[in-house]
Amino acid sequence: MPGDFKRLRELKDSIAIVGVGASRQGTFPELDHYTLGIEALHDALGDCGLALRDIDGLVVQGPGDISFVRLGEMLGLNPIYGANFDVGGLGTIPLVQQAAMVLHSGLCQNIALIYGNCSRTEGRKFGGQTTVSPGREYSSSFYYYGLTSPGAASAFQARLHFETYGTTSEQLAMVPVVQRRHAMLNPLAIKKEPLTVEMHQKSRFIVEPLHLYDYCLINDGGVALIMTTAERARDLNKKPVYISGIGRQDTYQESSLPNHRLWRETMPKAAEMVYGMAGVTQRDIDALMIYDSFSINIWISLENFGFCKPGEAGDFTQGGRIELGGELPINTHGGHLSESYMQGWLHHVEAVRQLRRECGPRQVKDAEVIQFICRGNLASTVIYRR
Amino acid sequence: MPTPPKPLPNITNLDRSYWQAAKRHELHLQKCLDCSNVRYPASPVCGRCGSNRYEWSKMSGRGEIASWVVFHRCYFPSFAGDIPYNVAMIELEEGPMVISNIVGIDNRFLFRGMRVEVVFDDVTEEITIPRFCIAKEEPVHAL
Repeated sequence: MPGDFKRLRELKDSIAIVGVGASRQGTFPELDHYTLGIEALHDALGDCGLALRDIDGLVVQGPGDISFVRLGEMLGLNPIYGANFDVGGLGTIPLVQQAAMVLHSGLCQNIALIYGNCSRTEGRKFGGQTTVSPGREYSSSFYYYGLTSPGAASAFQARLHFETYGTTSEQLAMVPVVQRRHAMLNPLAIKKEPLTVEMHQKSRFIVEPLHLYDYCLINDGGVALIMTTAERARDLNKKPVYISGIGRQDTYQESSLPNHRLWRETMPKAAEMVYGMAGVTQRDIDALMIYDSFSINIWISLENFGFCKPGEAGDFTQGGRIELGGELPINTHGGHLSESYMQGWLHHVEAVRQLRRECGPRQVKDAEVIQFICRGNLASTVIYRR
Repeated sequence: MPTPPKPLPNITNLDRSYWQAAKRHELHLQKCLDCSNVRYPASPVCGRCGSNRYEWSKMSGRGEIASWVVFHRCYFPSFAGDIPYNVAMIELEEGPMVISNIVGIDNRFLFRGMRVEVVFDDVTEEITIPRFCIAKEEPVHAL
C-alpha cells in the first residue's frame, strides 16, 4: 500500500469524467493527428456542455510527435496546466490519475485530455528502427539480434504461458473472436467481419506464437476526455462517471528485456491499491476493459488481478464468460483488436458510455462498476462507477 | 540488390568492457564486489545493494532457454534472408537473463529449459556478437 492510503482515499469518487469524444476512426491520408484530436475534443465538449474557454488544463498524447504546447497554440488556449507522458499506451491510465490529482489539488477546474494518432497514415510499424521512449527499451535494446516490437515482447509472454501452464494458441484465439463479436455491435468499430477460431489459427504468424489476429489494429483517429470535480460535474449535461479507485505500480528492473515474469511482480500490487481505494472487489466489477495491444494481455491481466488463478485464464476465457451476456464481459467495444487502436483512450470512453447506459445493443445490463486494466512496466488500473 | 548491413550494437562507456571481452570470445558481466550479484544490462551501481564497486567477471557461458519467439514478419530489411529467425531469453547459470539467438537448430526443436552455451560470431572486424547453441550435454534428438 502507498505511503498515505487514508489521504489517497480522499480522491475516491471526488473526480468525474463528464465528457467523452471520438473522431472518425480509420485511415485518413488527408488528415493529421492534431486535426483528429481536435475533432474528438469538439465531440467531448459537446457531450458535456462545457466551452473551450472553460478548459484550464490540457493533457495531450499520441504515438507521433504531438505537443500540448502546439495543440494549445492551434486552439488558442492558454491553460494553467499542460502535460504529456511519452510512454505510449502505458500512459493512458497514469495521465487520468495525474489529472485527477491536479483537479483534487485545486490547481485546475476542467481538464481536457486529448489523444491524436495518425499511425496508419504515417506508416508506423511499432518495430524496427524507430525512436525509443521510456518503458519500451525492450523493443530497441537488441536490434542486433533482430529483436524489436512490443508484439515480440508479448510473444515471449504467450510462449511462457503456453509452456508453463499447457495453454494453447487455440484457447487464446477466443479473445479476438469474442472482441470481434463485440465490435460488430459498435458503430465506431473498424473491423466488423466475422472472425472464427479457425480463421485465427490459419492466419499468418507475425512473431510466433502470436498470429495476425492476436495483434491490435494500426489506424488513425482521435479521442478526448473532459474531467472535473464531482461537485462541478453535477451541473453538466450527462450523468457523471466517477473515479472510484486508481492503482499504479511500476517496475523498471530488467526493463531493457521483454518481461519474463508475466508482470506478476507488479500487477497484483496495483490491484491491491485500486480495490482498496475503491472499496470493491473483483465480484463487484460488471465489465472489464483491458489494454489489448495483444490478445495475451487479457490472460495476464485476469490472472494478476485475481479474476482467476495463474495459469487458469485459458479455461476462464472459454464458454462465453467474457462475452456480452456472460459473467464478465471484456472489451465490449471490440478493443484494440477490432474497434480501433487508440492506445487505451477508447477503453475509457467505452467504460463511461457503458456506465451511462448509452451502448444500445452492446449495453451491459445494469452496469454500475467498470474497471480498466493496463499491464506493462507501468501497471495501472482505474475503477469507474456511475 | 546488395543486402543492407544488419544493425550493430550501440557501444557506450557503460558496456564497452562487455564488447571488448566478446571480441576475445569471452562473456563478461558486471559482478558486485559487495554483494556478489551479477547484473545485466550494464549499470554503474548494483540494483540489489546500491554499491558502485564492481568487476567485469567471466561467465560460464552456460544457461537455459526461458522463453523464445520466432520472427515471421520482417522489421529489418537486413534480416529478410533469416526469416523465420528465433530470439531467445536465456537464464545464465550465474543468474542474469540475457537475450540472444539460438544457432544451429531448427526452430521447431526449441523448448523451455533447453540447456545452451555461448558461441561467438565475429560479425565485423570490430564487433563480435555472443549467440548460443545447444549445450554439449543436452541430448539432441530429431535434428
